[in-house]
This record gives sequence, C-alpha cells and structure tokens, in this order.
Amino acid sequence: MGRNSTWKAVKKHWALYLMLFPGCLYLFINNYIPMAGLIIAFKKVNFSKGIWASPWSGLDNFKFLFQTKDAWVITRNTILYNLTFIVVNMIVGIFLAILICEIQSKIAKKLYQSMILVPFLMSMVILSYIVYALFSAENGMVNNSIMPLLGREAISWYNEPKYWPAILIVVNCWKGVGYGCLIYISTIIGIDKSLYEAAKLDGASRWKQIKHITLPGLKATIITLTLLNIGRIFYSDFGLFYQVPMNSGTLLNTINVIDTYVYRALLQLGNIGMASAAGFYQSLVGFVVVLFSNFAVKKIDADSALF
Amino acid sequence: MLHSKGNTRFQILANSCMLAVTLMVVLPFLLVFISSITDENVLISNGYSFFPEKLSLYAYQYISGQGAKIFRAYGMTILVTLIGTAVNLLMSSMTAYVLSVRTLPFRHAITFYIFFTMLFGGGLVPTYMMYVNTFHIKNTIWALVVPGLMLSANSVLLIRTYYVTSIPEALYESAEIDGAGRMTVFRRIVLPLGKPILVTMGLFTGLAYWNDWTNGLYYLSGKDGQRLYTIQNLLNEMITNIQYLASGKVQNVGAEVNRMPTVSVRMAIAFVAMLPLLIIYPLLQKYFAEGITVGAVKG
Amino acid sequence: MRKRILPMVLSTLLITTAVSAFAGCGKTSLSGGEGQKTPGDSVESAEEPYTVTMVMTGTQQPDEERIEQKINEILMPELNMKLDLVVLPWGSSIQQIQLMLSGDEKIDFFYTDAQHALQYMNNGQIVDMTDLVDKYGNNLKQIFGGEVLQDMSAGGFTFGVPCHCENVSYPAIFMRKDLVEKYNIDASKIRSVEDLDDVFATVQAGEPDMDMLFSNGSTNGPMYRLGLSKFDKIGSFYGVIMDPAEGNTKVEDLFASDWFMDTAKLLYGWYQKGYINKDAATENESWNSLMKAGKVFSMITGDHPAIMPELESSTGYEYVSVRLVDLGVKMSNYYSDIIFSIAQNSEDPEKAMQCLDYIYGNADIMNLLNWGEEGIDYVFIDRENGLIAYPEGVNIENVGYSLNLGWEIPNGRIIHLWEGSDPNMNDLMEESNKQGVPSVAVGFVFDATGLDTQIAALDNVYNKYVPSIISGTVDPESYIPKLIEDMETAGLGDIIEAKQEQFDAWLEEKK
Repeated sequence: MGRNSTWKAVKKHWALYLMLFPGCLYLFINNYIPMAGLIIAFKKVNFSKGIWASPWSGLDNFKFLFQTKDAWVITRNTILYNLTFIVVNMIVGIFLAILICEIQSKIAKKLYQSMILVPFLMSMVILSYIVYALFSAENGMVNNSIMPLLGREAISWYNEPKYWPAILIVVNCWKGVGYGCLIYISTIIGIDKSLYEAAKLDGASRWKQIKHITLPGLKATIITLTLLNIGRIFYSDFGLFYQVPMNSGTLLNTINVIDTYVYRALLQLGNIGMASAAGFYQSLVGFVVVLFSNFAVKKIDADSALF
Repeated sequence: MLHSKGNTRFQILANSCMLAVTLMVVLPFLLVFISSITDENVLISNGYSFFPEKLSLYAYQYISGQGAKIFRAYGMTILVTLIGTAVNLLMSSMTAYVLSVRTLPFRHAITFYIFFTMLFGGGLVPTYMMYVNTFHIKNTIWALVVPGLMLSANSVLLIRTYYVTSIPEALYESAEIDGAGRMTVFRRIVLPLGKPILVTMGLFTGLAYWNDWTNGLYYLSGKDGQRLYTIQNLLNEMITNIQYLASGKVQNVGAEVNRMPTVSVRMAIAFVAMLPLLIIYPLLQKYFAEGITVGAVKG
Repeated sequence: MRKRILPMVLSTLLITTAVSAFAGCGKTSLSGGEGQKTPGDSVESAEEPYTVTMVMTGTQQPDEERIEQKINEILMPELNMKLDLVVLPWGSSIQQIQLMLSGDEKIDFFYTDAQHALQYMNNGQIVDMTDLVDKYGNNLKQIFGGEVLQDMSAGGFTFGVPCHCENVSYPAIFMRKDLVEKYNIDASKIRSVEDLDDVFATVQAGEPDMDMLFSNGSTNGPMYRLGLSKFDKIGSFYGVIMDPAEGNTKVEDLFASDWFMDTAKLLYGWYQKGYINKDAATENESWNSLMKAGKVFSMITGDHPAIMPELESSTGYEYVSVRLVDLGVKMSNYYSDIIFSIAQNSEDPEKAMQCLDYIYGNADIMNLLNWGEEGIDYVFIDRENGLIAYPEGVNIENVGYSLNLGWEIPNGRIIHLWEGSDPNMNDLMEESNKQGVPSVAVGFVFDATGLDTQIAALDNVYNKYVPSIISGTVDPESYIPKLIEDMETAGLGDIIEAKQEQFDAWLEEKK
C-alpha cells in the first residue's frame, strides 16, 4: 500500500472526515489545548508578564508541595476514601442485587430496582442540602430528633472530623450503590437458569445456590468493575468532598483530597504554583494507575478493558 | 419449593429488608419537601423534622410572587439541557459512526486521539484560561454548554460499539450499492437503528447538564453572569453565601443576611429543582437502567 | 418526511451553534468594553468614552443597570467615562476575583483587603498605584492625608487605597431590652466581662430554652470581639502584638498568651453552665437569624455609633448595650481591611484611577451606588438631616436597588443615613475614631511572601483547634497546649521571626 493508495482512500472517505471534524475539533479545544497548560507547574507565574513569559522555576513548585504535610494527607485521603468506596459499594451492591433477584413478586422487584437508583440522579448540590438538613448542629434532624431518642447529647457534626469518613462513605454509598447494583442484577439475570434448576433438583439450599452459582457468576463483573474503579483512584468527586462537608475548615485534614486541594490552593489561597503542581502530580500518577489497571483488566476480561 | 414455609419466611424477610432500603432512599427527599412547607420560625427553633409543629406555604408563595430569578434559572436549566444534549448527541453519534467504518484510513489513530482524553487532562487552570481568554465564553450561555460536557470519549466509544455490534454490515453494503452517500447512510440507517443507544446516552447527557453546577461556578459572574444562572447555580450560591456571611469574615452583615432566602425557601427551591427528575425518572426508568448496564456513566 | 427533517435541523443547529459558540461570543462578553462601542453613542466627545469596570462583593441588585445609567449621567460629562458595576456573591467572590485576575478579563478596580492584595501583587495581578495616586488622587489625599496612603504600600508598591468607613469599636455586650427589663437587670452594674455571669444565671433561670450568649468559632464570636483592644493581629493570627496601644513592639504567639487562656476558660465556663449554644464551634446560622428567631439573649460585639440601628433593624429587637472595656484602639488593619486595588487587567489604569478618585469625592454617585435612586429606591423622611427610608410599598424584598454596603463603597461617609440613625452619625464616628488610641503598628503591612508553606500548615492547625477553643466548646486547659505545640511544628516560629524582622525594619524607617 503506497502513499498514493492511502491518499486515495482518504479522499474516498472525505465525507466521513468532515463528519469527524466537529467532534475532533471539540476534543482538541476542550482537552488537548489545556494539556499544554501543564507547564504552569514549572513556572513562577507572574500575570503582568503573562504565563508564557513568566520565569521558569524548575521543580520549586513541587518542592513546596511535597515539603508540606498536605501532599501526604491528600494522597492518603484520596486513595483511602476511594478504596473504601469501592469495597463498601461492592458489598452493599451485591447484597442488594442478590436480594432483589431472589424476590418473587415482579412488581416489588421492579419497584426496589427503580428506587435504589433515585439518589444517583441528584446533583451534589442537592445532596449537600439534604446532608445539611440532617447534620446541621443546631437545626439538623439528627441532633433534634434522633440523638434525643438515643439519649445522646447533640454533636456538632460539621466540626468533628472523626465522623466524616463514615458520613462520606454512607453518602457516597447512598448515592452510588444503585449504579453497581443494577450492573450486578443484569449479570445475575444473565446466569444460565439451568444451573439453578439442577441445583434445586439436587436439593441445594438457597444459600448454597448463591454461594456456588450466583457469586462465581458475578466474579468477572466484580473484578472488572473494581479494576476500572481502581483506575480512577487518583480522582475524586469534587462535590462530595467540597460541597457536602460545606468546605468546613475544621474537617480539612479528614476531607481534603487532591481535587479539593487544587481548587483551594488556586482559588482561595491564590497559590497558582502549588495548585498546578498538585494538578500535574494528579494527572501523571492518575495516568500511570489507569494504564496499570487496564493492563490488569485485559488479563482477566479483554472485552471490558478500556483499550 | 415455591410454597414452602421457608420460602415465605425468606420472602417476608427479603421484602422487609428492601422496604427499609427503599425508605432510606425516599425519606431524605421527603425531608426536603416537608422542610419547604414548614413554618420558618419552627424550622429555626426546632430544626428540620418530618413532623413539624406548624406548616406554612410561605416558601411557595414567595417563589411564585418574588421568584422571577428562580423561574429564569429554571428556564436556563431547561434551555441549556436541551441545547447541550442535542449538540452532544449529534456530535457523539456522528463521530461514533465514522469510527465504526472499518475501512477508514487512520481509524486507529483517530480512535486513540479520542480515547486519550479519558486518560490525561490539563486540569482547571489552563482550561479556564483558554476558555476565557481565547474563546471569551465567560458570561455567555456557551459557558454552561461547552466546557467539559459537549462530548465525552466514553460515550463516543460506547455508541461506536453499539453501531459495530447491532447494525449489520450488509445494510451499509446495500446502501452503497444504491449509491447513497455517507451522510445519507448516517441519516437513514445509523440514526434510526441507533435510536435505543441514543435515547439512553441522551438521557445521561441531559442528566449531567441538569445537574451541572461547576461550569456556572467558574464561568459566570456579576450581573451578566447571574442572568444566566441555572437552578443548580442558584442553589449553590445561596448556600455558600449564607455560610460565608455566618462565618464572620465580613463585618456589618445585618442587612445582607436579611435579604437571603430563608431556610424554607431554600428547601423549596431545592425541591423544585429535583422535581422534574422525580417525575421523568419512573417513565424512562428502563433507559436509565440500560444506560448503566452498558456503562454510560463512569463510576 | 418528519424523519428526514429532524436530522437536518439538528445538523444545521450543530453547525450554527459551533460557529457562533466560537466566533460570536465576543459580542456578549462581560465588561462591555467593546460591546458598548456603538456608533452614534459618542456625540458628547470626540473620544470614545472609557468604561470603568468596578467589582464589589454583595448582593446582586435587580435594577443595577438603571443605577449605572444614572451614575453615567454624572460621569460622562465630567470624565467622559462610564461605570460598569459588577457585584460578586459573598460566598464565591474571592474565588471569582482570583479567576478574573487569572484570565484576561477586564477589571479596573475591585474591593479587597491588604492580605489578598499582597498576594495579587506577588502574582503580578495588580498594578502599583504609587504614581497614579500621586497624579490623580486629589480627593484621596484630601480625605486621608498622605500618610495613610503611604501606609498602603509594601516595598514601594502601592497596592490599594482605603475605603472611608473606618471605625474604632469597643468590646461590648448587647442584651435584649425586653428581657433586661423583665428580669430587672441593672445594666449599670456591669463593669467587666466577669459580671455577666450573674446576668446570665438570672435570665437563664427564667428562659431555660434560650441561649444566653451567641458564640461561634469565627472572628464574629465573643473571643475576638473581647480582644478588639487587646491585640493587633498585623495581618494574621500567627504572631501578634499584645496591648499595642501601650507601645509594645514584640511580636508574640497570641495563643500562648495569658489573655487567650483566661478568656477561653471564661467562655468554657459559660459553655459548661449552658449559656452558650451547644454547637457554637460550627454554628452556621448567623447571629442575625438566631437573634431574630428569639433563640439568643445577648451577644458580644464591637460598639460604635452605627451599630445599634443595624442590630435593631436586622433582628427586630431592641438592645441594651454595655461596654466591657473602655479602651478603643486603631489597629494596623484600621485602613487596610477594606481597600480598592487596580487590576493588571485594566485597559487604562490612569483612567481607572481618575474615576476612582472622582467617585470618592462625589456624594451623588456614592448615594446612587449605595441606596439607589431617590424617589424610587428611597425617599427622604428628614431631608435636613439626610435621613432616608424605603418609599411607600417598597421593602427589602422588592426594592429595585439598595446595595446598602456603606462600609464597602469607597466613601461611605458622605452618603445619606437610614432612618433610625443618629443624624449626627458622621460627627459621632469622627469623634469615636478620634478617641481611638493608635496601635504601634498602624500602617504596617506584613508581607508573607515565601512563607506559603508555613501559612498553609498553620491554617490547617488553626482550623483544627481554634474554632472550638474560641467558641468556648472545649476545655482550653487540654486543647491550648496541643494547639501551641502543633503551631510550633507547623512553623509559627518562622512567621513570628519574619514579622518581627519586617516590623523592626518598618519602625526604624518610620523614625
């Protein structure tokens, strides 16, 4: 195939390239141009000179970032939260999926299946309103109605870091569990019915059926979903960590993740150097992790791999 | 087996367990609604509650009377969702179709070009500076439509996979024999046959637009910006303002605080913002579920 | 047929949107800098009028454009300029200003404070106003005198000009008048903060559901209000000058001071007795709404001539106030907390400065900016004394324009007064300000360049402990030592050292 024939083929498909143009142009603008901006991490930005003309600062921005305890804290938080989210959502999701599949009433089944997805549709802003209605120290429902029932003193939730990992895990699970659950349900439905028939004939109990048929049937889905999530372990939902805890300063060590750190450094402290260094760090490490997890997915289930 | 005692017991247990889960899902939304019809003073002195001492429709009267701002924001949300979803769908489906053509030269390179955007990004700072300095989208409706939402590599690739697997090659071939151009093929074959995936992707794109608040946060400011606020931006601004004024960083805020919407009004706006989703969802539930199983949303 | 039309409509839509998204959007850009250059608009002058973009923080007013027009009717013939007012919301203004200054959006001058201005200065986001003030600052020089303006500089770089709203305030307790009367409390017997114990005990016995004292973990809380005359924070709470009115020049750790421990213990004692709201450390509702809801008996805040009308109008109750300390001090942030800076993005800093200086001296513009238009947004109820109120049928919810930020607009001292104010407010203010004893550090601004790491670490430590301690919700005996220790690890010593060094150099220079 010479250059000429390639050129011919390209010419033949001109209409297709034309159709490709808007999408590619958009991605170029929205995604590729900003990548060039990553060099800000190596500059001492002075806006009167402009970004390009600002002096280079070598690795100074990174030195500042990693000298603080913050670099460690935000990395730890990001990874630990994500890991917990993955595990909790998986366990709860599988549990609910199996339960729903075992329920006989078709109407009830459908109802439950629909209901668990509702929180998934709401924005983080709405969620932050709900969490605030529950946990606001003075007016919140937990302090006003639930704590007295338990005979406990009111707690000022937004000021007590120790409760927040739990709150965020629950909120995240509440919002996200329906998503995984539906995927598990569709996998369970896809499991060969004859396996269950055979097991029933052998007199296997419900638990035995679950243990020996359902769970093994879910294995591939579980592994793939988990690995895909691990691929994004360096990124977190900005709204969940910023909007939901109301940006409360006292909680900072507990709730600060890389995304919120970048935002705060940039817009609250005006520290462009540190913000872009942290952003660069996230992009780079995140990239490596995705490559790695995709490699692992490919080994297990080539169809589910990203590439 | 079906009618055995054990099974009945299990069904009761399983159903009550799921009912509890369902309640946990519904109650928070109910709390928002009840707070919106609770008397303001009761809210402040007794807190949020499912059984308020005194009800009041003040919040909704306020919205219908003074709510020009709220209605405008609502209209913006609808407009932005419609425009954004339409453009996104058209661009995604076109790109996906092209990538599904096996004979296209450089197909793999182009696919990688699109795919790579899922792996690596420049982040907030450069993106912001580019959009504002070069494209001047600040305080225009495009600020809400264009950044980050118009096209995602994930949905392009999903739609492509759908085309590849569910549109038979023979259809293309016969169209070609009939002398149909690529555009015609796209219009007459790809779009109609791809409808299920397009509806699904459209729903999720629409949802993302409806729920988006970050673009407004970054790209709208001042009076020109506030005119373009969506309902999510409005909600976000209300709650951050109230927190900021309460944090005591400003002096002499007395009068300022007085003109902030009251707790019940805030809750009423939140309720109104989620109402359409609560209404639409049961009708289109099937498509949502389908979208999730094919992986329309990441995470 | 329908099937064919829809995709075509969509494709056309796509193309037009794509094109207009990138090509046409310049037309609607924010500043109006280019947008308002319509031909035929420039009859008055051969030169195109310059549009000055002024950025403030507050609540967006529905009829902003009407007021801008009115202001421009004054500005156009005088300066051949137009004013474009941009009001950013409270909660996100700092972020939005940062974003605007990072982009190349046109801003001319904006409201900020010295700390942020120094940050902008180091990032090259604002311009040096030294020569500009010199050349165009006639009104400014007249209002403030040269010295104050000189104080607004760091290393020869003038980063802003102050608002004319300064006040000296005294720590005071404000108690609900109806309850003071109901429980026969003799306010004249209250001389110091310790005397409040008995008052709270009496009232609480009769009103068990109320909180006796509003408290929170912010600078609005009782701790810092009680410290109004006690320490000068010269830029931040990390390294302060204690008793600055007595000429002390040593920079030390506020949190290690006896005053801090004693006051924290006092508040904690009140907390244990149930006088303070239980979630004070994170209280998110403002004192206004809590007071208004009748949940709180009293609050400690700074007493100055303008405070009473504000308190009464925003909460709907009357108050009895007693000063707890008789000393009022002009702190170093006396001027530098509310300033206007000129942005690097200004297209014409000279014109921006000219305009800024002009509006400092123009009462009509200040009134328009703050209260709106006479007859529509306000009416005179006492023209002689300059007292105003809402017109018939207008209230806070439906008024078209009432920015009502007397402390934030450039010159809040030449505007009309709201009903209920003392007609002699300005004299009283002047008097009160004169009575204030200047801190040794008035005019000193700490430049924290190069200390970012320590400050970020200290902010974390601060947020971890301080709100709970200063709101009185935790035991200071166990928390303050931990706070001091963590602050030291976070690098408080570096800040104190740098502050002391800069301060000594500044003192030397001042001589």
